[in-house]
Amino acid sequence: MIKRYKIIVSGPFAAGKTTFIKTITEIAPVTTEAKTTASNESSIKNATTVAMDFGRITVDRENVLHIFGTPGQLRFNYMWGILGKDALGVIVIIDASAKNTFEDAKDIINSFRVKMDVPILIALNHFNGKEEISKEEIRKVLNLPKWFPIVDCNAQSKESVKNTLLALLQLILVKQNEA
Amino acid sequence: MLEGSLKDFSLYEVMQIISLGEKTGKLVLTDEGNKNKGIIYFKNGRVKDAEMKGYSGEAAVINILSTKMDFFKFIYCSIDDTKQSINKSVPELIIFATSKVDEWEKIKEKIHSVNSVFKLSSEDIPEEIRLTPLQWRIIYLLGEKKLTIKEAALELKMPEIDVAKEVYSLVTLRILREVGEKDPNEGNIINKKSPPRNFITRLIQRIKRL
Repeated sequence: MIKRYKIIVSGPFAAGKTTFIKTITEIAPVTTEAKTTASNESSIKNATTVAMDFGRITVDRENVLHIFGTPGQLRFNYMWGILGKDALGVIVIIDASAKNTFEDAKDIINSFRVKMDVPILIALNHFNGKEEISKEEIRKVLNLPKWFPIVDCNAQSKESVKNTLLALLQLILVKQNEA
Repeated sequence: MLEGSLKDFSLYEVMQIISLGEKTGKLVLTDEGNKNKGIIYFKNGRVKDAEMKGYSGEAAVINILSTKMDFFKFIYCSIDDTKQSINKSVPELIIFATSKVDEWEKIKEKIHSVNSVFKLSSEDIPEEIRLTPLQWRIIYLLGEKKLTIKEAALELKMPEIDVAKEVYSLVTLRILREVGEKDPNEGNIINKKSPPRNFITRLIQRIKRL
């Protein structure tokens, strides 16, 4: 029987979650996007994830990793518990140039922190070359302790997405050693 | 806006999210039929005041925590005009509230059995928390001596439910983390369900090859 393991990719609206999954998945990604309706959202992108994105990496004949992307808007927060159940870890993607989403990012990170006992990694997405915040600045903005892991990432680059996933897997190994 | 159902997040979890985010505003809690409404005011993540059924301050918090609420909505606003009637941090309020929990069903949301084993959390505790001597003793017995709730109850000559209530508070605040279960017959510890280590190692190799 094939064993399925799961990683969650979350983050605020338009942070690059769907792109991150599309960049790494070995199958055509399953996305559940709908046309954005809120005026502040449709000015940023035309479609947004309403339920989840789904990607897959086959490890061998018996083991598969599933990558689930959550919707970014907090009004869909009922999905988090469903998607997060039995996950190995969580990657929270934040667009380094989208200051208006940092407060949402803070809520998302803290929701996972109180809800789930798994490693959480913040991936600061640099993909549009606009004025961007650094890792240390975002740590202050999000009120995160020094030990909280943050990595730089470009959701459009396969190497960068691979490195982000590898960073999360290292955290999972460390947590397993602690137990 | 932070809003949702208390089926997805418990009130303790919502209060922790507000505390960690150092938010200022009011948390409005309502029940299904809108018959009960409670408000907790936060300033930079600390509870400043509360209101419910004509009560204010800590009395209102007790009322809110003992009423079955269904929905929460956090509204960002200035609360400079609200009086400072509460001097407890969120962790202290959570300890106070969770020590009143006496249903096994609720406790089992965080603790799987009386044979569970725990570890002291390696995460920073965000705020200073005043613990009781009993809580310190339980942290020592579970975190350092690696006793189960059942064994700690025997050591403390207390009912298991009373120890479990204290442990529930400490796990909610992430001071203790459940890491597995001790086989009551064999005495060996079965680690909490986690993927085999070799799966993670193989996954790392696979991703490197992509």
